[in-house]
Amino acid sequence: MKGKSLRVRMILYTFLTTGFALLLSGVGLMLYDIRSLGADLKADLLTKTDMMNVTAKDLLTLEDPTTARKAADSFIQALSQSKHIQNAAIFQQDGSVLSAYSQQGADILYPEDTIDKRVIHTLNTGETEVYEPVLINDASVGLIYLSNSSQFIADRRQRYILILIAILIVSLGVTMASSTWLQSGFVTPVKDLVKTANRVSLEKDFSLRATKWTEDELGQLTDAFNLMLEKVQRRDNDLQASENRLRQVIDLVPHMIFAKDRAGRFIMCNKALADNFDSTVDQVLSSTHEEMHKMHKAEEARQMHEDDLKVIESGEALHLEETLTDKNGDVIYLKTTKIPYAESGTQDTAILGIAIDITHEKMVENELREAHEELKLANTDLEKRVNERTAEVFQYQQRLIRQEKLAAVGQVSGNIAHELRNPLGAIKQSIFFLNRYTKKYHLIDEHPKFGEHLEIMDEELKTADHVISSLLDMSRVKKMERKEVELEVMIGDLQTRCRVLPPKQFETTVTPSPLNIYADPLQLRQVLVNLVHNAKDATPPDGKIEVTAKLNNETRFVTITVSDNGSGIEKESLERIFEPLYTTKSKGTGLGLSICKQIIEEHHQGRMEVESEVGVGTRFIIHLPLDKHEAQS
Amino acid sequence: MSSVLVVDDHAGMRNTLIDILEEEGFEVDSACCGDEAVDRFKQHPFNAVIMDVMMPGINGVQAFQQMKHFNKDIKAIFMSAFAMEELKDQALSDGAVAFLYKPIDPDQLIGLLEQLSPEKAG
Repeated sequence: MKGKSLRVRMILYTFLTTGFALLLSGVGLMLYDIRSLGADLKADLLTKTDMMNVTAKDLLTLEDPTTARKAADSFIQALSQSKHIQNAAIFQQDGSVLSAYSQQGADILYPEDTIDKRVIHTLNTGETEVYEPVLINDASVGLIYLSNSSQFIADRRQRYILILIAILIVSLGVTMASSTWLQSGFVTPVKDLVKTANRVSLEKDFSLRATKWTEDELGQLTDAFNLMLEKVQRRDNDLQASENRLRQVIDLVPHMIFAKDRAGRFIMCNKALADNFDSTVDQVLSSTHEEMHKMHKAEEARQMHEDDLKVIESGEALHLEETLTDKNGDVIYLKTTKIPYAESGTQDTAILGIAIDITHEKMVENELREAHEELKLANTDLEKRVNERTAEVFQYQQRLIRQEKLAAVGQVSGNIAHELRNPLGAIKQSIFFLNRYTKKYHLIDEHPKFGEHLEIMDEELKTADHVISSLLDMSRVKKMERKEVELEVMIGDLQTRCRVLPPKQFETTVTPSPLNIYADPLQLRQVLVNLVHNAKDATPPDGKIEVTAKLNNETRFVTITVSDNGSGIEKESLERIFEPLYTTKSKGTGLGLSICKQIIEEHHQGRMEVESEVGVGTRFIIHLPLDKHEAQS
Repeated sequence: MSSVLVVDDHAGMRNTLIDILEEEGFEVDSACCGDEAVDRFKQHPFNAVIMDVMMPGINGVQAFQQMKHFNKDIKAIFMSAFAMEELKDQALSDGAVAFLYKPIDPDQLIGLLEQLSPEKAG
């Protein structure tokens, strides 16, 4: 019933109400009427019995039976005019019928029982029958019998029912008609209202209005509804305008503004975001998270969704930097803030996000960092180069100093050599003379110390001569005579030449073998001999000297090392080791190594270095150009 | 008897050489400079001349060249206190027997002179 339309309900209600009322009143009336009719008929039957008794008294007392029967017949005939009389009979004293009437034409029999007074029978069929004796002076002269017809009442009831049905039909027809009339005046405006309301809610068109059909309460309702619609329309327009303004504002913002639900679906976004996806706002809002992100790296989308959920779960804002790879594969750097957010009208938690494109800043930052790195690198490089140059300048200065010193030494030695060598020569000859002729004339035996002293003089003379020779070497500008030198041979020869004797070990390595170098053999040998002599002096009798030569194929330089496991050199001495006239040896001139360095660096365009550790040993390292070409350059 | 002229401006050099050579049996004369040496050589044809290179006046090589005017077969041995490559080359190309560096080895000198002596040569 609840689901039925108003119209059907109204018709049903009206039908039921009308029908029920009519039925109730009709049935009541009928019952009442039939009941009173029964009583009336009974009363009438008794009255007719009385009348019949009076008449029968007269008739039964008539002498002439024919006259009596005639009169009786006409009386019964008169009685039978009443439709409800079913049977009527007048019996004589002997039980014979004077006159009888039966609607059904049945025979009416004299009762078997003795009737001495009025007997009324109400039969189950609804019939009432009356027997009454006809008494004259308390003597019975006959009997009368009357009965009501049940059919009469049944007929009456049937008629009532038919009338009731007719009334019901007519009444319901009228009800139908009135309902139809009501529809036009009541249901139609309501239906129209409903239709309008439906359209408004469906189409969201608040400009629609319901038609006013009547001026009654329904008309007022329609007016109120329309007024409400108008207000809603105004509010909607205001809201729309406000939303448009908001939309305009968020669309004007160059940063991405969005809201996403728990499933990662966009429930709000601005133009900047849609542009970024190369899409429209509507497309974005109708797409799922996966659809929206499928053009991007799955990892990024997953990370974003994880962050969203983190914000939703914790209920706390999140500030992050994220990357977004667009469809061209370009990486966009975003500075994003995600805030927990409940969309108005729902209980669902979502996130509201603002993402600022910081790619440019990032790039600038990166460029700055790179520039900074480059600058740092350049600085380091510059520093390195400055250091290198400083070292070069220092070396150059050192070399200049050395060269100046050497030049001065050369000059001085050149000047004094002549003066010194003559006395030395004289002394040498004098010693020779004494040595030779004291022996010859046996004068040497005159004193046991003569010979010894002569030897001392001779030895010291040799030392002095060595010093002078070294000094002269420096002053002398020797002619360079470069040629192919077989290093293996020269190095192999050193042991014999320098008299390195067992148990002192002497090892040589030359790689590759053979290795020929373009150099002045005499000068190179002088250097090597000098170094091996030094090593020999620095090592204990069972010490070890190692000479190696190795070619660097890339630089085309040969590295020759002379190492020993001797006493090593103190740091202070090491720094000055190549200085002319600097010596740590009691018998040294301080010229050997400076001459070596001069030979290697000035004459051969090479480089000479030394490294040493006290107690461990010393290593001299010589770098020489291999070929003519490098040597000349 | 082989005659030798010792030329050196340094007296010590000169005198010790004279003593050694005389003891070895040479007939020794001496000069203290180039000019004097040339004069001596004019007067006496020595079998050999032992001469310093650097001396006051004309140097040893110049003196040697002048001496060659008188005896082109002159046997000269030079002594030098330090290397003078040009003069050495010149002297050797002019026919000098040897070019020794001071201090010289007397044994070596004696050996050279003995080879130059007329007895030996003859």
